[in-house]
Amino acid sequence: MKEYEVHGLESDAAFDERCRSLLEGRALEAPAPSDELFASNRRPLGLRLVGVAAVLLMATGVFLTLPDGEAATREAETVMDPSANDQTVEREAILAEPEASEVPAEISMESTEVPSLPAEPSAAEATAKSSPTNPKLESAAPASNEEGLDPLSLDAQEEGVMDVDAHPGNLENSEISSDDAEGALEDALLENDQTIPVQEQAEPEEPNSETEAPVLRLPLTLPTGGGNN
Amino acid sequence: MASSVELVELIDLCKAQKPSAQRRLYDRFSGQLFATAIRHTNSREDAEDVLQDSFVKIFKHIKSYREDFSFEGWMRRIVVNTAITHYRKNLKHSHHQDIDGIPATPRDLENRQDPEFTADELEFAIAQLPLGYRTVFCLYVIEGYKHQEIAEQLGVDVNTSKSQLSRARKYLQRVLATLSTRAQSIPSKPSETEGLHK
Repeated sequence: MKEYEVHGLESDAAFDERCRSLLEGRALEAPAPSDELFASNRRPLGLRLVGVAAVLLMATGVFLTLPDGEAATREAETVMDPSANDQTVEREAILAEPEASEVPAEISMESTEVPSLPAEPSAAEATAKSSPTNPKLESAAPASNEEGLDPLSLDAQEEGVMDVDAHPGNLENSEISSDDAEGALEDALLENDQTIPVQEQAEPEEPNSETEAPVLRLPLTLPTGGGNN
Repeated sequence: MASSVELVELIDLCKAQKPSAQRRLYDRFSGQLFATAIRHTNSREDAEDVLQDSFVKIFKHIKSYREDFSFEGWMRRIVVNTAITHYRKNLKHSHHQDIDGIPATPRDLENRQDPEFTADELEFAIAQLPLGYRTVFCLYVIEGYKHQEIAEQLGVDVNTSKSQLSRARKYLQRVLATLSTRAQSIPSKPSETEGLHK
């Protein structure tokens, strides 16, 4: 029995080896390849082309929209510039209006009684009056008149004289207004040199808000302390 | 040497997804791979499907091929795995065939003579095997798989693989012996050249 098994194993191994040698390199006539076999590898290329085309379209779209956007931004900037100027003027006017109410009545009446003054000096005058450095400048203005070095101040003096001439019936007021105009012009010159920002002009409003804050706190604290004790 | 260099260049071009190189690769190896596919399938149509799917996988995964291994062996393994997948899919639709009627007795072995057979006769005999036996025989004998690998690939027990191999081998030997005896019994026609020499 074992002899048969051994003979069988040897013969099986020989048979397998023979079969392997016969079939290993054997080839048959293969069918023709279908077009899809190679087209499947072309599909990614097509997809890539579609992707590239899509990217190009996107790029062109962005490129076409960018100049419009830039133009729009430029227009916006050009629009914003006068508006910003207007806003600054309005801010100056807003800042000047409440402060004009704070100005003593005599000076305000004097400023209103001078219609011939141009708009810029009047605005500058308003800001100059509102500025805390105004008294010092007013005190310095006669010194500049005495020295007579600044031609602009001289022109302002001439304008003040013209104003006086325009209103001969009110000499005292006209003199005061001419002095005020001189101070305002100098203040305007200082403002042109120093270019005081708007925020610095808005600073005086903060103490008002701070002063208002304790007023709001007082009713909250008083009932608890006083009522219980 | 030149053919190996040419093959390396062809593989590189196929890795670059060149359609012309893919066609050259198909023309060069499709015959061998089709012979492998037809041994693991039931029909020529199934073998064509397996070959087609195999080349799709080859072109898709050729970048993962490393030159350390045989390229033909790598492709043939893809064909075999594709055929096994095809076999598994069709397994539920086909009824189980058995070759239990073929005895493998010591008497058979004693009486058996090592028949001389050709490759065509062997192909013909293998084609007569049921697909399960055929797959086990081809995987073990031709592709060099171990029984453990065959069992894992086909989802059968290792002993089942061994028994099917043994039965397939005996069946083939019997068929080949029959073919050889028929060939011996049929007198060959004298050729014209032999007649002339005589």
